[in-house]
Amino acid sequence: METKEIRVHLMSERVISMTWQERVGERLLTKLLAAKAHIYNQKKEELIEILSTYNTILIKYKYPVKQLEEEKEKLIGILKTTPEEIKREQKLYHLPVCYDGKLGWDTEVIMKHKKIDKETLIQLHTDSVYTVYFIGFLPGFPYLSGLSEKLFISRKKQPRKEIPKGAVGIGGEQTGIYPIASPGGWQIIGNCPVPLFDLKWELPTLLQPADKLKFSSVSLEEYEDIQEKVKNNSYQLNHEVWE
Amino acid sequence: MGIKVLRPGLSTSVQDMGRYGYAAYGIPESGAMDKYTAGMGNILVGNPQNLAVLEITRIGPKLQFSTHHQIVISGLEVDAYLNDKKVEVQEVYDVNKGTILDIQRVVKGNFAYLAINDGFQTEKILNSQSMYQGITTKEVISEGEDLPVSSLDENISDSYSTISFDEQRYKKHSLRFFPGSEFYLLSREQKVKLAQESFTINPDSGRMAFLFQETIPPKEESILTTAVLPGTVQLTPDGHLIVLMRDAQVTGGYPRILQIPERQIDVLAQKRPGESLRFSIAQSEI
Repeated sequence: METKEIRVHLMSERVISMTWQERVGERLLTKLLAAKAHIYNQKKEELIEILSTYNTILIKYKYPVKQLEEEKEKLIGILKTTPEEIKREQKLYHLPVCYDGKLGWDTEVIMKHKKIDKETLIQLHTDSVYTVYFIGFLPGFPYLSGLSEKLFISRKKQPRKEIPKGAVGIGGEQTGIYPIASPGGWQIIGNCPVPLFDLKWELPTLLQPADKLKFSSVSLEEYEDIQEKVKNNSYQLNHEVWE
Repeated sequence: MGIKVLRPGLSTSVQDMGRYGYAAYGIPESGAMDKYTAGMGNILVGNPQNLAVLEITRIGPKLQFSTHHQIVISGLEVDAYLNDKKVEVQEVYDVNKGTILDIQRVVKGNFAYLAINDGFQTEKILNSQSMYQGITTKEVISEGEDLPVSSLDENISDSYSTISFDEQRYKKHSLRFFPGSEFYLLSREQKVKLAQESFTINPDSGRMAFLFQETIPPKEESILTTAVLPGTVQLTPDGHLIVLMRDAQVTGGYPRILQIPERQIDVLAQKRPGESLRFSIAQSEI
């Protein structure tokens, strides 16, 4: 891949960041994941972890990086032999969300502010296919792109002390799901009864970068039914291979 | 064979050297706020330095032992008693069934550590015992609980460690740093202010972040949410500096203007609200 536009920076004694200057989007996401996989394969003995965000790869080493220039050259060398895209199976998850007013605390506010009715709000939120860029902010919290511009709304001026687990919210140009209870400033429009984070799983998060997801609207009864099934381990999560 | 918690203290938690390798899942590193001091407690009691210790914050716990152990309290200065007898920091003590350890307060710095032979044996989640909300069952110890530990073999020989605690490092009032990933976005005016200003620690500082009272001229510039680390210094839109500490979230959206080296995070962790310090910035960087 092209390496001219990458800024390599020693962030801390044991951490190097590589930042791409190009526009954030699916193309860059694909590139970052290819770069991440390639660097990891060639350096895994030396690394604690490697992770990506919108435009950056963070490489965490077990030991301090002593020869920075040499290491930079090695990393750029690896990227030069990395294809722009590594084929991997992408999943599309269908996640149920209950948009009932009992769970969507700020639905009324958004309807008023955006001058739309509730059906339109639900349709706008469930029509999009969202892409997971990375996990951050909270354990298992997915950074998603794909929210309809018509639903962009600023965060609450005063963050709430506690947003419940599963809350689905909108903050600025993003939508997301709180995988665990947390303080937060997003406008809450519903709740997803399917867990996104569980320490008992082999990987603790359901979603991984580049996964796709789509929300489907469920009634309060269906929501409670799914909650019950999740509790009994009898819930079948609906997902398919994304082409 | 546990240690009974008679009084939990202000915010006493089990910590080790941290939970590494799970930031990609949004999981913070956690670990002892002052790793040097935590590790020193372990070494003095004859443990590998990364075993789990109790982190004591300002007001300490009162604990009762149920069998024979060796313990060390590591820290700058504490007011603590073993059955009403004053305890010194960085000293090994033998305790027995019924002995009561009352750590009343941390006198100097914010954190002290209680190390015990073979370490505390609380649950290990993702390779670490460091307590963190949502990851471990508990985030602090609570009254009445029994902390799991191993008793000490009676005929074990005393370990005399010759390592001495380096108190000097905590007396410094300036912190070295790396330029942060967005340091280049700062204006000359901002850099000069950063170099000249003394920054006073705000009382809201804690395991997630240390905050300062003074501001530098702000910049209405937000960046894309990106990766951050313990020691990352962020500049908020109103000109405040936030130094991320051990329990910091793994991503953030404010410019990362400085990065404090790993060992200096320990030093910062021990600075109290109201104390001030400077960032030592080389003239060539301005």
